[in-house]
Amino acid sequence: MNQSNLAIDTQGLSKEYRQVHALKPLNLQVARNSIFGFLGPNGAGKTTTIKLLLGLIRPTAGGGVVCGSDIVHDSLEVRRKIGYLPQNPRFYEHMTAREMLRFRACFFYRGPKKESEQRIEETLELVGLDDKADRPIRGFSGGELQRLGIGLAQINYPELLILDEPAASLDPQGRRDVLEVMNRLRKHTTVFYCTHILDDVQQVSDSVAILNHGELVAQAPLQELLNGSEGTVYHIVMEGDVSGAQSRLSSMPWVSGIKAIPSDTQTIWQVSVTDEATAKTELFRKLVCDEQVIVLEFGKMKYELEDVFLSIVEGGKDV
Amino acid sequence: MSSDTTLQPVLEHGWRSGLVNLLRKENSLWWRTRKWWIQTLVWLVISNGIVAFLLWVVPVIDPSAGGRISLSAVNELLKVFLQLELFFTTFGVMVLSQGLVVNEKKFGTAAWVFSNPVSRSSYIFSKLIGHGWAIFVILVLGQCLLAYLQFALKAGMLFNPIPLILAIGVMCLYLLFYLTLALMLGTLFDSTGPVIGIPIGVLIGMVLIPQILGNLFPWLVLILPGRLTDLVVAVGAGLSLPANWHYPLISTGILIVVFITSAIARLKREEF
Repeated sequence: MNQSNLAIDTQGLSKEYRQVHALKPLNLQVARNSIFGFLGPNGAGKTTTIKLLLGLIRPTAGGGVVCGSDIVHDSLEVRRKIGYLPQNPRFYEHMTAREMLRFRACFFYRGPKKESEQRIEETLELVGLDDKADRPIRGFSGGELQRLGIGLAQINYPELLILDEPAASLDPQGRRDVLEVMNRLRKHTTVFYCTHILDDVQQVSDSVAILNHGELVAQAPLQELLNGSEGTVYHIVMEGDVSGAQSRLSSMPWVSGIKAIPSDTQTIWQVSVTDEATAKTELFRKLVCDEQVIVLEFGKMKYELEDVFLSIVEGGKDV
Repeated sequence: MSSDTTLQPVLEHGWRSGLVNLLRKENSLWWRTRKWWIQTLVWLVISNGIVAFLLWVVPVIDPSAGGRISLSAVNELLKVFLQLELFFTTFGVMVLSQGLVVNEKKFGTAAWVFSNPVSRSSYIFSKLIGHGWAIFVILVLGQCLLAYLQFALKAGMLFNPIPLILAIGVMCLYLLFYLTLALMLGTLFDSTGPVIGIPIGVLIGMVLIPQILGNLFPWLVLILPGRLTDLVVAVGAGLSLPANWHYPLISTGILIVVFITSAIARLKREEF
């Protein structure tokens, strides 16, 4: 991918603390205008990566480019182009939400007061804090703080939004609101976010990277990752005598394997194919032409992100 | 989200990045909260309360001390006022500046601030200028002005304010020494203990050093910032200036620059 199409591009970015690798050399590419889920168990190095991108810590080796600016030599320029929500947002508690938004906005732009206040108002509405805009932050709940944090992060209309666990301390409704906000922002900006709530990732992300023990263990578009690494697999549930169908399918050159899942009343198969186009047209026909077989379910095998994540993180094995 | 905008990007680069906005925030901490009038009230009682007691209450208790006072008596009272003002404001600066950097580091707001286009030097300068200005106005200028008016009212005439203005200038340098020391310590430590403890140690040390090391290192005694307190009183009360009076002025100025430079250098190395 052309570098101008990338919001983040790191090359061998690493961080070591007293000979402990917090982040092993990381090569990460994030496309512009995507929602990119950055996953990993606690202590995997996600926050370290974010801090390196922001210039809050210095890399031990390697480097990177964020929105066209070097993260080591041009950190101020990087920070002009991004918005950041920390994992545990802490803001000036004596200020109100509106004052806080005004404070951050003033780092980026100046001009007619009416217009900047309008932008603040828009942001308050976007994150659903318009009714609490003039209350001091010290009385805010965790969810309200999180939403204010997202508002603050995007008040400068950044090219890249970096969100560290944006939904971690939220109730289901708060999580849904945050995901909605992220979806709304998709057309304006790139969203790079860390989380371990895999359901959320599956709902909104375009691409995903998985970090484990400071090492990048997977990076792919979400659909590719969910399709698994065994090629195309069909999931079929049947009743009846399937022995004839099994021998017929096994003889097909485009079928690479049939895995039977034990079940008391039904027959469940996972059929791996090598030629997806042929399988699409032939597989179902080959089954229904057999009168002994009743096909109850038929479809491509879909993995849950949780399965993919656990298999990569726990066993290092492919799904 | 509208992209049609007449808003212009802020053009602050290099070491000045974010300075104006941070300074506005530091100022608002004093002037847009209750802090300014609470501090004004506190320092009014501490600094001018004693002067008011001596000038207006004592004559009521002891009528022989009443009536107008002479210029020499004004100078004598001014001397007492300046000594007390120096003593209290030194502790005031230590207390007010102890958490300026440390609390933000501990609380996590400093990390958030530095995720914006803010240089580390802007951060230090905003604290220095914002809080230095408030301390100057509330603890020093306001109190000295009010004390001057009390003396003038009691003396029945406006006496020459120049010595007092010069004394205020020297006092500011002395207080700036403690403010910049606290800022530097704030970048070095992660708790407020050393940030207030070390300046208290420095204050006591500057009283003890002339007695303990005065004979061994006479030059050290000459350059101690603590000598500025004598200079403040001498200048303000119209007394003869101490010998080599300019030495502590120069050394304190140099130390202030060293503290600020060290604070910025340390903060630049800090990882959040």
